[in-house]
Formats: sequence, C-alpha cells, structure tokens
Amino acid sequence: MIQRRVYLRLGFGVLTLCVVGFWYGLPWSALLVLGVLWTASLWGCLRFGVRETLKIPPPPAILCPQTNEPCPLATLHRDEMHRAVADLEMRNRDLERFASMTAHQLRSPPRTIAGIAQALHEDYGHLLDAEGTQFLQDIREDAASMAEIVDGLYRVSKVRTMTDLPLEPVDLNELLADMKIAKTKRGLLRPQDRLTWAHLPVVKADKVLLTEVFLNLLENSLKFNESPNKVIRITARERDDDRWDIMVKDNGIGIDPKYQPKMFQMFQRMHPQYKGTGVGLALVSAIIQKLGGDVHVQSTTGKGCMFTFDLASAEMVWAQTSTPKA
Amino acid sequence: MVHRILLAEDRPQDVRLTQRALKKAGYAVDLDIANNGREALDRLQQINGCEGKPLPDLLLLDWMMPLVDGREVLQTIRKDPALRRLPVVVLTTSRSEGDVAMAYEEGCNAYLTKPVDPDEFQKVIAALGLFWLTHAVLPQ
Repeated sequence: MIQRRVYLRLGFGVLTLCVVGFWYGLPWSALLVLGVLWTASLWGCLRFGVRETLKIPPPPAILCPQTNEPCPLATLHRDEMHRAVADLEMRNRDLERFASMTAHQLRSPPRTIAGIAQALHEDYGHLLDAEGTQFLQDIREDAASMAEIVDGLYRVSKVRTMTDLPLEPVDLNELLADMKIAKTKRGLLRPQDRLTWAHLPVVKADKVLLTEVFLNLLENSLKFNESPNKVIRITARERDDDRWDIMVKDNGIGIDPKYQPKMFQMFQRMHPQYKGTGVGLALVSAIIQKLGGDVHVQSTTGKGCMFTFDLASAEMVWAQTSTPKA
Repeated sequence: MVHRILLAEDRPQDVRLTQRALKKAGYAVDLDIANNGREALDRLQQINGCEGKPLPDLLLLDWMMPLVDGREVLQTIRKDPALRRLPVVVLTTSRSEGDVAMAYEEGCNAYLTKPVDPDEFQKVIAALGLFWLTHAVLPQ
C-alpha cells in the first residue's frame, strides 16, 4: 500500500508541473494529462484517510538450517502462532476486565442486604420473636457468604488468566513471621496454639500470591481443628530438580481419603458442618499451578492434614513462564 | 460544628446505609446526595457559582457510577482551580488494584472499600469521621 505522503508528494509535484507547463505554454493536451494525474493523486491521498499508513516491515523469514534458505512453512506456522498468542492475550485482558466489572457489581447487593438486615435487627428487633431474629441472622450470614463466593471466584479467575507473572525471591521465613504476627494480633492464633517452621528456603514466586496460599492453608488448619492446642508445623525438603517441597502439617480433624480427589475443586466443602465457601483450596491450587507446581494432601479422619506443594528455588535461573504445569 | 458532606452514590440502598452509619457514629453532618457523577459535578459547579454558599467540606465518591463515573469526577475537580482543594474520599466496593492506583493518580485523598459486614462498615465510617471531621484541618 502506497503511503499517503507519497500521494501528497506526487500531487504537489504534478501541480507544480501543471503551473510550470502553463507558464511555458505547454500544449493543452499535456496540461490536461497532468491535471488528471494531480486529481488522481489527490483522490489517492483522500482515499487512504487522514492518518499515515504505516508500512510495518514483515518479520524476517525463518531460515532452514540445512539450506539457509527461507522456509515458508515454518515462517507461516510461526506467524500463525504469533497471531494466536496475540489473540489469546487480548481475550485474556477482556476476560479479566469482565471479571473485575462483574465482581464489583455482584459485591454491592450482598453488602446492602447484610446492612439492611442489621438495621432491621437494631431498629425493629424488639418486635420480632426468636424465629424472626434467626431469619435476620440467616440473611446476614448468607449475604456474607455470597460476597465471599464472589470474591473467591474473582480471585481464582484472576490467577488463572494472569500472564507474564513477575517472579522474585521470597524468603518463606520472613513471610511466615509476618503472617504469625498478623494472626496473633487478630486473635486467630491463641497463646496455646503453635505455628512453627523449620529453616525454610528462599523460593522464586510472587509474594502476594504466596501469601494468599499460606493464608488459606493456615486458616483451614486453624478452623478445621478441635484440639485444645492447635499445632501447625511447616517444613521443606529439597528436590533434585531445583525445586522445594513445602509441607504444611496440622493436628486438625483431617479429611476422609475418599473425598480427597475433589477437595481442590471449586465449591467443594469437605466438612459442611463448618462455615465456608469451598473456594480457598481451589485458589491455592490455581496459584501453585500458576507458579509451576502441584499441590496435594495426605490425611485421614481425625489425624490432621499435611498439604505439600512445590516451588522453584530462588537459585534456579528462572525461565519466565506463567503456563500451568501439564 | 456541622460538616457538609456531598455523597456521590448511585445506589439508594447504599445512600441509606451510609446516612445511617454516619448518624450512628454521632457526627453532625449536613449530607447532600448526588445520584451519579454528573449530578455531583453539577452540584459543585452550582454551589461554586453562588456567592456566599460554601463548598462541601468533603466529597464521598463512589467509583463506579452511571453517566459520569468517579474517575471523571476526580479528573474534572482536580482541573478546576475553584474545586481543586476539595478533599475527596473514594468509598467503593471495588478492591481492584487498578482502581486504587487510578484513584490516587487522579488525586483522591483516600480510598476506602466498603466491607460487607455491617459492623465493619460502621467502623470504617466511624474512622472516616474521626479523621476527616475531627482531626484533619480542612481547606476553607
């Protein structure tokens, strides 16, 4: 496609020739031809719009290693792949925007439902009997539950659609120390409970996502635990492939092995008698997969749980990837 | 002392809950309501054009509103010399990092998210009142 500026130059040049030709008395037929050419160049300029038409040079062809000649098939596949990747990235961004907008819209109604139920309880609760009061409490709890589900869904979808995740060295000892302080301050970790860890490695991860992993696992360990003294112990084991296995073990109520295959799926609640949305472990699984690892559990009923997941060592030269492990 | 607050919020239920929370927190507030960003800007410009009528002490701004959203309201306010100094607190359900970053880039003074739990929301409103209506020195 000829650039607009070529048309402009052509038009200017032809117009100049017309004027010069007229000045020097060129035959009318010649002037007519020049006039037509100028009009055509002006039309071409208008035809291709206001903006410059950029001529983006095509990427170089892939050369066949044996012959050093351009290999059309490989070039075609590479170009198709680039287009597919660009298309997927655009769809991912659209999906992320859609999820963000949807989550925002869905958060508002449960908030106001809970607020109005609270207001009814405070201002008109004296008119209600025990059953009416319980209904209001149910409304509040279900509204809170709905908001948690929406948040959980949004967080899982955000993790799954992440690309180009920037990874950094994360000292697990420091991360857990901060978390312990926060949980103690909020009263979730009582004086009689113990959260301990062995000397843990520095891993290559996203600190915010890894914090989310430990938050969910620790909250589960504390929640699904009837022991008078709750114990959580975190250890690490180095593997041969420059990765570390991280083990989170508790003395909680455990999980029946027959239910374990589906416990990392969305909305699967292993203990319905406890409050929860069934999103936490799905989020843990999505994050660990995004970090290139796997998570699994060993447990029997009444004997606590041990969650094991693997992370890259910070010493490993990280080949930047955000695709889940197959 | 009665503080004047302009609340820009498109959901009437949220307006009622915010009004109630401010009343429960015990702050003497003259609360003006704008149902969207367009109304908020019109209200501010109308006040600005009337001699003797003061601007609100604080704008509580929802982020996602129809017609004109919170971002546009902030952009317009910060460009207007007469409105530029108005303290703006974004009060929204959105916890998106993008929205938080954008709100501060456009010049909000604080960004608060509305918790689902009514008791937590009450604490947020109480803290907002304590800082902005009790301790902070607001521009005249």
